[in-house]
Amino acid sequence: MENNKPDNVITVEDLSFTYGNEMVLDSLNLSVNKGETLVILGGSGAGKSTLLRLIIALIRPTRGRLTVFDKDINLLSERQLRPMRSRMGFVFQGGALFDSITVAENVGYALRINNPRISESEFKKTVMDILDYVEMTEFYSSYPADLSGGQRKRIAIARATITHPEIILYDEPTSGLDPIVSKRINQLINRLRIEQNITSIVVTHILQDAFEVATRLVMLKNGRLVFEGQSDDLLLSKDPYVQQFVR
Amino acid sequence: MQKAKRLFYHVEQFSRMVGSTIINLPAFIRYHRSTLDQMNHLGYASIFLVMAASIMIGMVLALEWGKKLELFGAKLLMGRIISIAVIRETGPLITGLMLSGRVGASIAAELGSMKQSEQLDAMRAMGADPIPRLIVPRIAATMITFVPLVAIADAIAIIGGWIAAVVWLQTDSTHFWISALDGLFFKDLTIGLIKPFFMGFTIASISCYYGISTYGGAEGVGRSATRAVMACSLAILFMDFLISKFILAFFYA
Repeated sequence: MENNKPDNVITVEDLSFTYGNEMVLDSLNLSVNKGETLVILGGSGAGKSTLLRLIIALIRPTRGRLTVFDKDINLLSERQLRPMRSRMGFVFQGGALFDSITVAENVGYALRINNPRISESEFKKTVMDILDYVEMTEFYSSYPADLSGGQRKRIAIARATITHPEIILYDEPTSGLDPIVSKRINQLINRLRIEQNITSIVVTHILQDAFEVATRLVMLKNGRLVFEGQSDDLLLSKDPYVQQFVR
Repeated sequence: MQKAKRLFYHVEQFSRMVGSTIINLPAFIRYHRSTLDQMNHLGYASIFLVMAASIMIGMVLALEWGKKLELFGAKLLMGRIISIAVIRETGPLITGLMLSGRVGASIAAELGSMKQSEQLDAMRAMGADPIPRLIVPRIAATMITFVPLVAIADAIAIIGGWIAAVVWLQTDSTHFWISALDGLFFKDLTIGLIKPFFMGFTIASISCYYGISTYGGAEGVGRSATRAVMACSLAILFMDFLISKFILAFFYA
């Protein structure tokens, strides 16, 4: 079924996900528009990271429909998902950098997947350009073990953006970082939206970071949507859980 | 009921992984660099361990059998008994059990920590299939290196037996070697070298599965490594029995 809203790049309809006997997401409805940064707030175990994993089809929903780029991803095989995934980037909570290869090889990993015959000069130029964008060129030949938490996150963002994806999913991009480094990461997320019109979904439990990057916010509690709106609406919400979270 | 369900789930997932690995096996040529790295890490680095274990086993076999054969005045058969026992049975089995510990734990722990740090998910999220990139090189490397490792183990164990026979049992060196080589036939060598090929596949595939199905943080990685070693050791004993039974029925019927 074709999506009739041209601006929607992701549509979530009546989506549920259970793990064992536990209901992680419960009848969730949500849409993400092109070019926006949607922040998903919520406490631990609210289902935020699970939703990101469902969107990129690392896990499959128990019930409901999840449409990405007008395709119901539940109907796609692992092989059919690959072209769709190449239009998306995922920044994992811990960076998920490959320990055994250099920063350059990590960042250019997707380049080699999409074009196995890429020349070394083109590979180096593309990787250097993206490392320059995240201000990390001096770490070209380093290994992930040599990087700090913030540097790992910036390399992870570089890796997610190298193929010029239309959507980037960020799983707790500032968790465990000091406020200065967090600000740099938030600025990078905003730059990507403004300069490259990338649609972003940012999962976080840090309110200040959410306000810095969000064009729209949603809040999850026990797998259910309890808030959807702008930053100001969140502060004025009468929902007891939202109030507790904001305070 | 719950346990049976979980067992069926794991059997299904393991079968899927093995099926996908077999389909993707030629990918080890494409990822030859990774395969060579794994051959070095899993195979070359195991040589000393295998040699040390084999020489002891060879010596023990010679001492135990030598005393018994002496009672019947059949000490001259010692070379033959040791060479057949080592090449057909003890060499592949001991190498398999040693590698179950070393290779099994190594693969399960490495893939397990990759799973825990979300590296496997990162690979899938970028549109890459972890089977040909991570699992095939490990399985191919184990299968390729297992055969020469068993050949080395066989040779060292027979040498160990010869040392024990000559030094402690006063057996004539020439008689030992004539007896050892006389008792060997081509089919014995074939049996001895078919086993490691299948055993290598078994060890690597079981360890890979335990690695990629790791859950529960650092504790989970340790648990996967331990379970992989246990499962590989049992599977090696079962495979050894199965192959021996099949070959005896097929070649010696």
